[in-house]
Order: sequence, then structure tokens, then C-alpha cells
Amino acid sequence: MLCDHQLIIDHINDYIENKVSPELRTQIEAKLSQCTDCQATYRQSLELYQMSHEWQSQTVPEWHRTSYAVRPPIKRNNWLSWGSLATSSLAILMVVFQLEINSGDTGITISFGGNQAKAQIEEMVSAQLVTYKSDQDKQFQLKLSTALEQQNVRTNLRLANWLEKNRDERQQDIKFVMTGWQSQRYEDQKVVDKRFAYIADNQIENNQAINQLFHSVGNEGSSNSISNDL
Amino acid sequence: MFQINKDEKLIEKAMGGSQRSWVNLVKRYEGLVYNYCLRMTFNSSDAMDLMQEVFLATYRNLPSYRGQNQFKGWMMRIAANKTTDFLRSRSRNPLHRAGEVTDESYKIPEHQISQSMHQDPAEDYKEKQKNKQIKKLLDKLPDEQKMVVELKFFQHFTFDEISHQTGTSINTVKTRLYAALNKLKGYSEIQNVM
Ligand SMILES: [Zn+2]
Repeated sequence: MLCDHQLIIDHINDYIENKVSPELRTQIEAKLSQCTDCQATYRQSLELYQMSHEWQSQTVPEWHRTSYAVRPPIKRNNWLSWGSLATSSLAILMVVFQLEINSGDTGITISFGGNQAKAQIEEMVSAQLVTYKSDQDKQFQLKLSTALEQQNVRTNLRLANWLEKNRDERQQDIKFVMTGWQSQRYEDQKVVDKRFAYIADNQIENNQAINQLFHSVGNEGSSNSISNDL
Repeated sequence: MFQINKDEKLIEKAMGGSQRSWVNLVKRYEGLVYNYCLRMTFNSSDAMDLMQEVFLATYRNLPSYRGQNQFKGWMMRIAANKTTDFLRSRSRNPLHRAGEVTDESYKIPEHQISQSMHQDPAEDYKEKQKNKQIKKLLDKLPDEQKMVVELKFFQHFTFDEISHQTGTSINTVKTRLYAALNKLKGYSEIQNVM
């Protein structure tokens, strides 16, 4: 008897999941008893079906869910804040560089506070920046080690509590708890990593800000720029 | 029903610019999409790349979402498209050789090994071994057959839905499934003997 295997292909999943009508079931079973190809299809489908249930669902690693989804914020009164920022920056620069504006016979002359003053300022700024950088480094190390230490203490406490509670429990229960602890430990690790990344980010931003400031005060040819590698 | 309605609400808010709603929507589906990507690409870093592409495309296409409580199907259509593109470009990449995919997702992380008191690592490893076995078997299939098996057996879509998602006729979908089942028969037999 010829078989186009259509009936089996069409309904195989529903058949496996017991979702077919009794009439259809009878038809399918008749086909299965007659056609070896259809039998093979059924067996293979059943295997895939079982496989799909054996799949161990993996948790998604941490990722940034909105980096691409950020809509530009609505701009409102921006010119005002930029304007005031520009004005105050200009005022600061004028003071720093001892700007002199003289009006005389030849028109308006604009001059800065002389080379000597400039060198002094540069020296001062570099010294300040070096101190600031080493302070930042120290703080960063401190924050990091404190975070790690706290994490360890917490993990150990948790473990101790669990062990206390479960001392008299059966072996199986302990194993279950250990699994929990293991994944908690993993979660904790992720938290520490995140904090580390956060602190590192801040550090980079600080350094960038310093560099910008540094360049903006016109420190040509100086090698005192602060590196971003951690 | 309640769950599906929640999708629609989140989508509406996300389109209104609410990042929180978008994150919530992503969180509802990222597990599904990530595991789908794992089976389709075989390795975890590719799966991660592909998953991000899928959500990016989903986000960009939100304005063309027609509602009617079909978000999962609609998103999986985008996923199927992205997967096809992804696998095609990967197969053109000389650095990727079929069958030589990395297994990094199966290594037990260092910090777990270093624990002095730990659960039975063999147990953990065995679990992952099962996934590995499944992916190895699926990897025997050409991409378009693998896709149909994935959508039919792992995602439980109907032929009609799969046809819509893959942009092929129902008959083509059935033919691909039949071919896939035939191809897998040989491998399963070998596996069962071993
Ligand atoms: Zn048949």
C-alpha cells in the first residue's frame, strides 16, 4: 500500500502530546502499523520531543538591555544652561590667565598674564593633578578591597548559617543546599564584578575629566597626562 | 491571557519611551530567545551576539507591531530572519569552521572549581553534557532544517506559524521537517549503539 507520510508529518506532535481526536488517533495508528517510514518518523519525532524536555535552560549572562534602546532625552532650555556654563568658564579662564584688555591708540590689545605666570600655573596644575591622581588610586583600591571583603564575610556567614541549619539533615538535603549556595556564590561574584566595573568606570571618567581639564588649561608638550589603563 | 495582555501594555509603554517597560518586556523573553540562539548557533558568545541583534531589531520594529496579542510569534519571526542572516554571514567567515565550535559554555567556571566545599561537579557537568548532545545532534542539520526542528519541537509552533516566521510555504516547512527527521535517524542510531 502506498503512503505519502503526510498524515504522520501533519499531526505527529499533536499525536505525541495526546492532542488528537480519537478518530484521528485511529487513523494515525493504522498508518503507523502499515508504513515503516512513518514508524521511523514517529520514533525520531518522539526522540526530539523528549530531547526538547531534557534541555537544561541556561540563564542569560548579564547584558545591557537598553544601550540601543535609549531615546534621546527631550531638549528643553538647553541653550540657557550651556550659555551659563560658557560664561562661567570664560570668567574662570580670564582670571586664571590674568587676561588684560587694554584700549589704546592702536585699538584694543588683549594679552595674557605673561609667560612667567603661565609657567607657574602649569606647574601648580600638574602638581595638583598628580596628587589628585594618587588620591583617586588609593581610594579606588580601598573601595575595591572593602567591597570584596564584605562580600566574603557575607558569603561565609550565609554558608555557616546554612550548614548550622542542615547539620542533621540527610545527605541529599545538604547537596541541595550546596547547589543553592553555589549559585548564590556565583550571583555574589557577579555583583562584585558589577561593582568593580562601576568603580572602574568612575575612575576612567575621572581621569578623562582630569585630562580634559589639563588640556584645556593649555599644557602643551607636557607628559603629565593621566593614563586610563587600570 | 493575562500574561499576553501584559505584553501589549509593556509594548505600548515602551513605544511611548519608557525604558523600564522595555527592560521588563525583554526580561520576559530573553531566556527563551537566548536558549533558542544557543541551539541555533551552538556556542554561547554567538548566541549572545545573535540575541542582542534580535532584541535590537525587535525594538526598532516595534512601531510596525500590529498588536493582536501575537508578540511572541512576531518576535520569533524577527529572530528567524536574524538567525538566517547570522548563520549565513558566519558560514562565509573563514575563521568559523563548522564542527569546530567552542565549548566554553560547558567549562565549569574557575571560581566554582576552586571552592573547597562544592557540590558534585560531575553532576553539574552531566547536565550540561545533555545540552551539548542536543546541540551536536541539531548541528548535523542544514540551517533551514535545524530552524524548522527548533520551531516545531522546542518552540511548539504550528506549521502555519512556522511558515509565516520563515517566509516559506507550509509544504516547504513540512518537507524540511521530514528531511530533518530522516537525516537524524542515522545519527540517533549511531548514538544509541554507543
Ligand atoms: Zn508513511
